[in-house]
Amino acid sequence: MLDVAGASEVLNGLYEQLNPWVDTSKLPTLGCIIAYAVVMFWAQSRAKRGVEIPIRRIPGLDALDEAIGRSTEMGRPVLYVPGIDEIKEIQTLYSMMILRHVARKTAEYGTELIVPVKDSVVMAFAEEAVKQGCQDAGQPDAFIPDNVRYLSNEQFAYCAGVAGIMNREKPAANIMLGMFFAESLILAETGFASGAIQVAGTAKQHQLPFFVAACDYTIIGEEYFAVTAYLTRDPNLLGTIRAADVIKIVVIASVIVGAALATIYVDAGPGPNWSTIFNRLFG
Amino acid sequence: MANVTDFDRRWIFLAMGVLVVGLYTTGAKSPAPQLEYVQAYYDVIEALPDDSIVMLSADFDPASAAELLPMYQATIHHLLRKNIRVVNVATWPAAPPYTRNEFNQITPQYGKLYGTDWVELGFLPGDDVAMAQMGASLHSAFSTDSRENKPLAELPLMGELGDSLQGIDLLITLSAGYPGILEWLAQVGGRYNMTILTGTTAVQTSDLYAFYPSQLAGFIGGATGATRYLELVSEQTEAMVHARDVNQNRIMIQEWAHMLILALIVVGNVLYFAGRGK
Amino acid sequence: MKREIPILLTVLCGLAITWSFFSQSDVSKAVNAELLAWAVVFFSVAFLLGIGNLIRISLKQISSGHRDRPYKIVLLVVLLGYLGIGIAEIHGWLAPLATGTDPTGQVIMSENVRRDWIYYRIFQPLQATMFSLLAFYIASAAFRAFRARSFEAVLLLMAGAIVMLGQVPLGDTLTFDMASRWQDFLMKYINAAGQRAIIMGAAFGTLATGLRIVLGLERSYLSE
Repeated sequence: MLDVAGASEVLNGLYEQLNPWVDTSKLPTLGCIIAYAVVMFWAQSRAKRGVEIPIRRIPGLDALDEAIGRSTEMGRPVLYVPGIDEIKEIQTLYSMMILRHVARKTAEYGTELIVPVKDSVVMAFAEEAVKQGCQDAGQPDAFIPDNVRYLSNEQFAYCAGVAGIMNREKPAANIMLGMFFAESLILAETGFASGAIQVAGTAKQHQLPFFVAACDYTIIGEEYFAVTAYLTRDPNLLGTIRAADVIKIVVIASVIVGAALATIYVDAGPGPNWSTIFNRLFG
Repeated sequence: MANVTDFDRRWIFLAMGVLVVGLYTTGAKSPAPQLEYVQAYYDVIEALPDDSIVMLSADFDPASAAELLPMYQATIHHLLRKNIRVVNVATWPAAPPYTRNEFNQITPQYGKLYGTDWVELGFLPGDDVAMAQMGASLHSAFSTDSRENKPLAELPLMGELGDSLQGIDLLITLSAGYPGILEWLAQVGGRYNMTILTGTTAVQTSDLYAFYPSQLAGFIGGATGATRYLELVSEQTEAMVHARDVNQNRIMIQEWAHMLILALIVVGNVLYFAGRGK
Repeated sequence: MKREIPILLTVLCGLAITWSFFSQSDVSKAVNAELLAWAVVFFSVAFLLGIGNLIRISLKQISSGHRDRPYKIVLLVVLLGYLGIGIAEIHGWLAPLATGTDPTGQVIMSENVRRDWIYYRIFQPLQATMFSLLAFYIASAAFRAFRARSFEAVLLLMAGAIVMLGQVPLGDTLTFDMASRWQDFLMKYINAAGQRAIIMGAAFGTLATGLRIVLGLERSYLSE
């Protein structure tokens, strides 16, 4: 069994070999990414083979269907706000996937769907998502191009535009899923004042308190990523969720071990010990 | 009242409006609390030797200028008083008018020369990609400065700094959202082991505790932090005294606005439980 | 090939940038700097794309008599007007205007004064006003929605109250100097721990999608 000095020498030797080619201070990061990728591909291959990856029922999902149903009964449109960030933001990409699902539902029920967007590139994706959703429902004629509206690139101008749509067109349901910033509370409060049922979701933790306060249902943090996997049952997304769960367990274990080692060796003098080796490997 | 939600919220808006306008009109002031992170921000700049080079990034727009502009002004005064040289950039397109205006007004007060003591590189599009590019190569990110349109090599400060950010002693970002401090930490702080300070809006402050003190050497959060920083800077800078007084008035307004919100929460709960009891 | 070429470019560029992060070699740094320079150019072009798209959509709605037609006309006039003024001032096509006098009494002439006037007199107040609405809305949301309905809600309310009181000197006065200490404890330990966990969780989701994009497995950004 290696002693501390031996383990430290092995690591030093390894780092010296790698040093011209790889920044050894970033080896832990590279190791974690490779481990995560391996777990993710393993989980995805299991999902593709049909192995069930359970995702718990997320309350916000029921609320989506309820919101669309309410709009259909009241004969008023559904407003879908996909956030204000560009398509390169992961949350916006996921929002487009959920938008396709919502578009399918609204097309099935014959309910109008309005999608205001802040970015011209996102508009192209949103149009595509709504069109695909209508086709998925077997109702390609349900797609109304004018209902995917590019308002403005400016944050608060967009916010004012959406607030205007809420006040004028009085949607019965507001679905706000994506990346939001300071405008989230303005949108949520305006939506409440217009009498709509509101379902919001974002992984942006600053804005979650405002959504929780002002909306009827909130999809919080990572539930937002899980919603997409749940709705689409795409093996890639399911694998991602499973991989994230596995890696989180590993991280929790590492934190506990690392904290224990740091505590045990807190008064250790200079020189290698298991705490410093742990830091080199995981820090 | 049958239901709390029936209450016309315009009365609440009116109460808030009267409170804010009334206190603003009186000019009443309140000092800011002592804040460890603001003190750290101040101390890091104080500890810099003369002729250090600092990159100051303006990552905000008029919406958040009320919170961030006082911090920005105070930071410029602090840096120039310490004879620290400043490279001034922006990653938000609406920031350059502020950066230009503030540097135009403040640098003459310290007799600072453009090109030697400070440089304005301007706005670089690309969000976090722009930050990564600045980290990789300043000269390919900015072919000229934005003030005099000169190639960077012709500016003495940039010539001394070289091509990468590794010549920078400190990076300070006044950040209102995306792109901002989190992107600077990811693209530059982690990669090049830079010392970073930041000033942010109050809502972002909760994020910053996770990074202090290892990745972030100090920070100023919101109007409260800005006022505390102004109090520290104005002890040695007469020009910041008026700004300090204005911001202390804002602390007074903030105090009573917080009390109003707390009162509304209590009243709302009392009415809710009273309604449930019936 | 319409899908394969973009996927190939994505994979090559993604791997190159990732390699440069982990490598110290000069080749990787040079490749990284070049790709980043290209990326910044694309971002700049995206601004033009955005403007072009905005003009196209607005003209279409104006010509079709859409109900938002008056707003689209105002939008185009302001967009093209400000753009035109900015370009004209940059190139010195408009005469400088007097903006005041310096301490010696000499008149200060500025070339940017029209652009700055629009920025400081129109854009800045409008943005600041919209942001200021938050103060009113948070008050009404607090009254309407912050209910002590459950144990967790009570905890939430207590934490909120402590942070609000700890932020301001009056809070300390009312709580015998305890509010700021409790707030500090909450933010430094409980909040920081929670934030780290949330940031890590979101980072895993972003990492997974990023990995799939870089390896060419994620194709949702390509049209079907």
